[in-house]
Amino acid sequence: MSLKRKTMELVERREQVLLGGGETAIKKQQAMGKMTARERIISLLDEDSFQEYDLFAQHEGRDFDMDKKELPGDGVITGTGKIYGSPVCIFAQDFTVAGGSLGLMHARKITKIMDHALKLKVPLIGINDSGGARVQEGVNSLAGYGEIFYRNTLASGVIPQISVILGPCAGGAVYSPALTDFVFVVDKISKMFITGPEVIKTVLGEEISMEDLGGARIHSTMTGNAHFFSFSEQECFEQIKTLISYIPWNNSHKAKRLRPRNPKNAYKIDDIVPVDPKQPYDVRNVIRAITDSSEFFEIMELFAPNIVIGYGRMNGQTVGFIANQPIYLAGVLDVDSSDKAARFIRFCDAFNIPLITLVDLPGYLPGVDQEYAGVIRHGAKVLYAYSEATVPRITVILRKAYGGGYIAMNSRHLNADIVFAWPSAEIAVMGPEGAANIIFKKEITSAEDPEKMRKIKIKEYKDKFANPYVAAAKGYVDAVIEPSETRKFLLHSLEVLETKDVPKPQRKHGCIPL
Amino acid sequence: MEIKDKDLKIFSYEGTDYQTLLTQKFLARKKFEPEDPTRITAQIPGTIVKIMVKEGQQINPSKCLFILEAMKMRNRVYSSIPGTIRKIHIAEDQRVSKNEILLELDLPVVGKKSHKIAEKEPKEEKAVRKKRFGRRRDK
Repeated sequence: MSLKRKTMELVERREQVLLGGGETAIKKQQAMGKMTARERIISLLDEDSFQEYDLFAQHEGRDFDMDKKELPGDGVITGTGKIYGSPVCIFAQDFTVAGGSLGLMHARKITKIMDHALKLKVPLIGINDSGGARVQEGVNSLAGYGEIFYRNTLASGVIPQISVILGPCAGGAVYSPALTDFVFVVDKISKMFITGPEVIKTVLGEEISMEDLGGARIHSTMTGNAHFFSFSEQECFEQIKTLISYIPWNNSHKAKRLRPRNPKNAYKIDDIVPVDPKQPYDVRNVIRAITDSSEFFEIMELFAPNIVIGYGRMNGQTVGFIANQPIYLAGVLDVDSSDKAARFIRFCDAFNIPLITLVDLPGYLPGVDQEYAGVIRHGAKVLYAYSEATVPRITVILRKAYGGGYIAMNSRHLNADIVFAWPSAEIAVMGPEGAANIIFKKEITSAEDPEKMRKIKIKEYKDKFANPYVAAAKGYVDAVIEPSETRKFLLHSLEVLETKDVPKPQRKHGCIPL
Repeated sequence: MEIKDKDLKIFSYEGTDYQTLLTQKFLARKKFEPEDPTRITAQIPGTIVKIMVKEGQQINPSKCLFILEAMKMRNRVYSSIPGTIRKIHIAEDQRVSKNEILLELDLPVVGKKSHKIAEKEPKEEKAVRKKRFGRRRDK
């Protein structure tokens, strides 16, 4: 056989496998409003940048007549590619082949590309669309899942790991995405749960639809399992590309530096924040007023909106922003917002992304439900995450910073590198109203007109303590700055902190309160 | 995001009234209710297999009230206090959902001794106990 004929044979073989589960299955997939696995990879990666591995992999099922079945690529496509020129490793489960079910070879292909990503030190992207374990392969498929989880954990903090849920992802399968750094979901397509509606119905007699149990909205608003929500697969891929542009390839690199740009004139920092701490405003506008091109890429926008996290660029360099959001619940910290912030801080710390914290909060959310949900344990994560982070940490106190909330939000006392405060900052144990009621209780109750006396005492407290100068006098605030100087000072601080080097105590790992 | 004044709510925190939006999760939070031992509710959804008491009957915490089958387990349900059965809301073979009220009790009248006296064990139960543990040896 000549080389030409052999090549022809390869082309033929390829064509057969490239179709995945065949035309009928592909039509079914499209009827569900979903792209095929191959289409997804092509839309996500740079043009012509995909290099596939293990195209001719054969499954190893021998029981239940599985040996007579052909499963092209064993239901998963793996390989390497590029996004905006940055290399990534990728796998995409192919629902058209045996429902994307995970058998031993399917898992081997995934673990192989994971090992590859860890060796190359490049981000790993996993597109999940699978009915779950391939029951016919029994314990072998369980072994496959376990081997994936193990590698997810090994890779954690070394390379960024991204999970995209574009179909069902149920049972044990959800734990691979859960172990990764960012989970993307698409409305009406993504479904994640441990036990599905059927099991819940038979065991507990409760009826619920798949969408209400583990749809994209639920995971973006209620559970916090998903980080990015979108309405279409195409929009989802754009989000992934943007994220990749903000984060580094691995933990020994820095994120790619872009050309520095000024913020847009539309965001006037002097006009965004009302002086009265009781008035709300959108803190994201403050972030946009100081970042390059006024761009802010928000993460977990719909979950715990009382805290805002996300990326922006300062002088071309990626920075992670954490900011209390006064339009929601006055910006309090609670169970969900603590989890959200702490996890983000740790990701940034692991991947050399400096942190800027904008503070404006009255404290922790009061409530029996909060206490019962363990706000002590969850709130502790924020303290822990900030305290252990060795990347540059800068704080700007915009307005109120009261009590435990002040300490938690990257205060000097948690070893922040630089703490700025605006003249509108109020750093105190609590708001003037609450403080006056406690300190001047006797004077107020014994006064002829208690309400008048209360007002006088509140004003007295306000004049004396509701400002940044008491903290500045102690050195807890490094500089009180004009709002319009914020970007200038932040740029300077980031520059001088570039050489920051903090030795860490010798240990295997800390024990963060989980 | 445009903030509309009409959507803003007062959020009172340590004496200060903040104007802000409330999240869905905050509004849907479970309000605290102290436990009422006179209302026996289903802790888990399931099926009532057998009811051992009648309305008007005096019971002790040691008296099994009914059996609730859930998660393939037959759970014997007891009251945490002595009292009189005021109302039984369930029937045998009935499916119940979580937190459904199954049984209501009246607290015993203070001073009446009757509740402290152990009730007569039903014959079948006594027989089973005897078979398993032998005769009770009272002093």
